[in-house]
Amino acid sequence: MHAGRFLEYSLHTVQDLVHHKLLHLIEKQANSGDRIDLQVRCLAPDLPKVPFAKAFEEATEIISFRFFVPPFVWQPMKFFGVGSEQRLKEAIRVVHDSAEKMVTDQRIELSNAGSLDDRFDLLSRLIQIKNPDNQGEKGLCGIKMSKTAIEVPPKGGFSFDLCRRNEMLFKKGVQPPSYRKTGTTIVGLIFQDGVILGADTRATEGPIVCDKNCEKIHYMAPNIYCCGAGTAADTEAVTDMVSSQLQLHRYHTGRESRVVTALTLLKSHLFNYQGHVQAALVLGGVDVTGPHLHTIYPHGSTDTLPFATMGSGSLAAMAVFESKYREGLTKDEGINLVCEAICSGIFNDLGSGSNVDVCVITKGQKEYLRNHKLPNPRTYVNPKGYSFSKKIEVLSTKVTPLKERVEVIEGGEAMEE
Amino acid sequence: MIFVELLCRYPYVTGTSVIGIKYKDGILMAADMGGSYGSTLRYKSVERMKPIGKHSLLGASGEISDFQELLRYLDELILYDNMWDDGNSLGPKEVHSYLTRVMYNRRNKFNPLWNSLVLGGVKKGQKYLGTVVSMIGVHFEDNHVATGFGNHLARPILRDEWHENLSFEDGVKLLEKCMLVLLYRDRSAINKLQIAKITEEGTTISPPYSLKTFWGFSAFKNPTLGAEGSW
Repeated sequence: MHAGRFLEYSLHTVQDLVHHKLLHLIEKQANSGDRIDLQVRCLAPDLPKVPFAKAFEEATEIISFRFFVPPFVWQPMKFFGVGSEQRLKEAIRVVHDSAEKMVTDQRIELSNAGSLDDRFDLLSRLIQIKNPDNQGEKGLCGIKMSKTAIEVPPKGGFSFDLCRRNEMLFKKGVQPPSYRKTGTTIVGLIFQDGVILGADTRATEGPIVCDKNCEKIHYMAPNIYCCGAGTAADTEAVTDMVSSQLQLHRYHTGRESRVVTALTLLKSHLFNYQGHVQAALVLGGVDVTGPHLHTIYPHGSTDTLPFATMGSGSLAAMAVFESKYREGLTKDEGINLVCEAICSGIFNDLGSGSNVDVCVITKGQKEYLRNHKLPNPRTYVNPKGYSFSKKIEVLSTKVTPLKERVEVIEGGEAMEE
Repeated sequence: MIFVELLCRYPYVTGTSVIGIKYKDGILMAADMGGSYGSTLRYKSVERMKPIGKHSLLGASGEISDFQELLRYLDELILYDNMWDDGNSLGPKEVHSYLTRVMYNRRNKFNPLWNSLVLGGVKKGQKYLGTVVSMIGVHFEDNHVATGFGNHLARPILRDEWHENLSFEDGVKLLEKCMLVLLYRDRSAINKLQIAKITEEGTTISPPYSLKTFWGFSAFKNPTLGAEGSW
């Protein structure tokens, strides 16, 4: 809207009102010596506004009450017309009636006086501007009631309205939802021919396990994999991003990616965000220079190690590694040790659980062993199985193929540029 | 609540973890001999395990001065018990119970003894190993216990490898395994430890000795081989 012009107009209106109306009134009263009652009522045509304003505020309050209770509470209240919903209906009715009355009053005045030029309120202006015959009363009511639409002209930038609502909710005791973390055990070790990575599969959201079997070993390149601990979204996003960057780099150079490339890309990204991207990673892979294993911390520092653990279960897993790791492990010994370390995390740390994923990377090949070990099987299964209570009868059958049969015509015309 | 800071205090000179396990003939306990003053290693000959009466052995982590205070309380307790001269003496269960009460009552007055204790002993063939955890007064009994960092680093190993009827040598080996991990990964641990044993016959606390550490991984020798720029 034309913000500047509107402000000018409002200023004019107020000035006129004060100079021509209010000052005169007060002067007159001062001269006459009568006592005047400066309530809104006496300033003439504002009479219907008072119950109107009250009803409007009540309606707003009751509607905001709807935010605090779940829908299955206020919707039945609305349906049955009880409690606050009943008052809401009443309030809405009053508001509508007052608005309609105001509009019709103005119209009558218009038809009586011939023009509303000497009236300065917005409604009069709008009635005059628009076609006086076929005008939706509701439309004008709508315009009158939408205070906020007229108040703030839309500009760019962040709207902080919901921040106030969040604060209000927080004061009332409503907890904000927690981030989905992967309270985790992730490990990596270097063995004779390459690198073995391991991870558990539990993702937690505060005290609840939200994913019993998630994948924490992310693909970076055909010869590089990365385990992630911390906020699930952060680890996923960061590994995906670096994975695509590596792919582009591979196309550019025509060579196999190196682990240090991934390492540098990840650490510079994480350092840029000063630890706000909460991703703690164990990066491992085999490239032309040999097997490599690195840990990357959320603030962007890295370590190059022969064996590494990260996550909440890192101490339990590290205890196993520190006591049992030695150089030159064979593949099976390595996988066993990794499994032991992850199991130690699973059974001794509350943030880790479910199953063990293992990834073995050697020169030229990789083995992704998803759910290599399932140490938490479902031990009790109801022998009766599941049975539905009512007999299910087939009344009719209709088969709709989801894929259309498409005919391929050979030798069609080529697409134009 | 205003004087909590004054009463609760902060620990000044602290000892790190203590580990205890049951074995065939009794209880084995291990603790290092370091007393840290904040982040400096100030005292390197602090004995954090002491025999109590005829049947018990107490190991403590946390504030050293509070441990010494506890020893005085226990001394008094044992003294009075001996004065009865009735042929009966306080066993580990009784001492454990007494300690729990003392710790819990102190915490209720917002004036805790800043310790985590491990109490083990044998009486009439019955082995008993319990801990009283810190300032809070939590206590429980188990086949293997640890305090502080030992909970995170040593317990997983013990859960996997402890079994009933460990021989003395195996028990010591197991404890040394745990202490080695603690030495590598706990910043307030030092390489000077004691192992204490208590059986029906009595208590023995070994002289201090150190563990052999291994730093010879080829990856440690040249960590940035092939990864120039990292460390």
